[in-house]
Amino acid sequence: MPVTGLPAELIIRILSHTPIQTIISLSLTSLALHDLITANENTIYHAAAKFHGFVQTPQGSPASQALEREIRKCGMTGWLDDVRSWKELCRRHFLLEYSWTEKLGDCDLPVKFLWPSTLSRVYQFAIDRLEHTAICSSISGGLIVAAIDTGEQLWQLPSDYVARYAHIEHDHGFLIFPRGHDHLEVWRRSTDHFSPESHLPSWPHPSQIAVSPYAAATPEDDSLLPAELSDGDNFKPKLSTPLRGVYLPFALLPVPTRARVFCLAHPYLVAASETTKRAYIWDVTHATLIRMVDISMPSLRILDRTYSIDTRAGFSVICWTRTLAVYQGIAAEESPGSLPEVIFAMDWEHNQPAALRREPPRSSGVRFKDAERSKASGTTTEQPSYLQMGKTLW
Amino acid sequence: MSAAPQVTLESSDGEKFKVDKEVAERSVLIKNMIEDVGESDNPIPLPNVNASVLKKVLEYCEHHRGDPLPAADADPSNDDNRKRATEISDWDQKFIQVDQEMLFEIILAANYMDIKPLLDVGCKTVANMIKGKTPEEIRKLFNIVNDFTPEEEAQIKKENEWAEDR
Repeated sequence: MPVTGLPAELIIRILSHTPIQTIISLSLTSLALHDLITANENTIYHAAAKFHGFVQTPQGSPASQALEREIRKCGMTGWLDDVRSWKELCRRHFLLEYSWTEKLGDCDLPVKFLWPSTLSRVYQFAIDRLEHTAICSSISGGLIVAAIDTGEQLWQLPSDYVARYAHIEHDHGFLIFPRGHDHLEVWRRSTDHFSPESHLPSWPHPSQIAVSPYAAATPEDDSLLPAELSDGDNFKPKLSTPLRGVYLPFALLPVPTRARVFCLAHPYLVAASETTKRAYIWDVTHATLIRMVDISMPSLRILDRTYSIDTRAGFSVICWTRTLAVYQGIAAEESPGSLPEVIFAMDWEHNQPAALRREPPRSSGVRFKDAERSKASGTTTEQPSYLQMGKTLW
Repeated sequence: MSAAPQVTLESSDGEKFKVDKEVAERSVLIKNMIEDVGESDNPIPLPNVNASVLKKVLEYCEHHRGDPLPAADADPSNDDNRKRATEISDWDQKFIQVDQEMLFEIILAANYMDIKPLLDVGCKTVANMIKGKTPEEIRKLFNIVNDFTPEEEAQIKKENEWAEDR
């Protein structure tokens, strides 16, 4: 009896390195192995849930406690309410995955998708994976948060408060949308506000507090004061416990004019202004402006507008009227003091690489080796390495 | 300068192995024994490990003598790297290319001697052997006799059809 000659703890250990299909295959080989796996089901499927990435790995807690915590985490959705074992939790995740990939056969589907009529005028939406909600802006103004599983409307801001066709950004429980041309609204998931681990002081503007039914109303006038003047430490929401889908006012950030495009890459909020040709970077968790950087380049004309911005993994892409520019180092983590590097730009009017702002520095030698070599040999032609670099970035 | 301190290990079949203390202490069991007993010239008995397996285990310890030790209280079920089951270093992969019987002996010895990295290499290797295989293929691999009735087998299959590859 070779494999079964190993003690149970070692077979469990081996199975922690295999997918669920293998666990089931092994349990189908013989009665002894089937019984061993059944007897240790919770331990084995807890490990399997981690193997498949269904759950994070909390430090040193027994399988049963970890399961309770996991179910509580999704508690507000009701999605895992009647789950009593790690195996059942794994099954739910498998079915959910099949339903997304349309591979669901005759199995019963644990998740319902309803689309309420309130969502019919959606302009943009963001999905909150933690609370299983959809946060939507509308073509006629306003903002709503709806439960994905039931379609129930959980929270909203009125249409005279949130502009029509509002761009929204959502990341790590922070919700950003514009107010007029010169402010960005920052709201935060109430779950995070009440969680001891993620609580942060907030600096809501009185006008934000006034509009939120869950924030304590202040009698102060609601003229636009600089956000710093409102008293963050004393902000006490009317809520005493978190509510799914409910957001609380966090801060109101003043922005320079025509910073129409912005992007939240937690914890950085990056906005690009087409008038000043600058990017503004906030640390959203502290509602502070931490950098202001020049994003101009020779090919940009004075009336060029920004259409969208995306920031991730150290790169920012800004779509201008005629130019698509890829910048490196706009987000603050690399070098807070330095200017960003335009590493590639495409002039799509002429379908050719656009002229770049400045020569690349020597320090990034490897990446720009070709460019430096052509410089050394005295050629002044286009720098093909940028184009190549850009192509691989696509 | 004096030579590195050495200890003697004795396998279940009476063979003695003189190795550097640093090498032997890759085994948490031996490390604790040395700490408890103190320096001594007496051989440390390992009644659960025979000479051929011990030789193999010591080869592993010798190669990994300089590696940082895993945290003493690391819970095996919290190994962040578990998902990367196929990630075994080249040397370890060559090292563990042994027949099935020896592989299981090494796993048992690593478990007994408390050498977690070696235990992981062994378990991952077995995991990789059975991954993607059908029950019948696994039976063949390990000479397991199918003792289910057809009804039982069908019942287990039905209960678990949600996990089938689609």
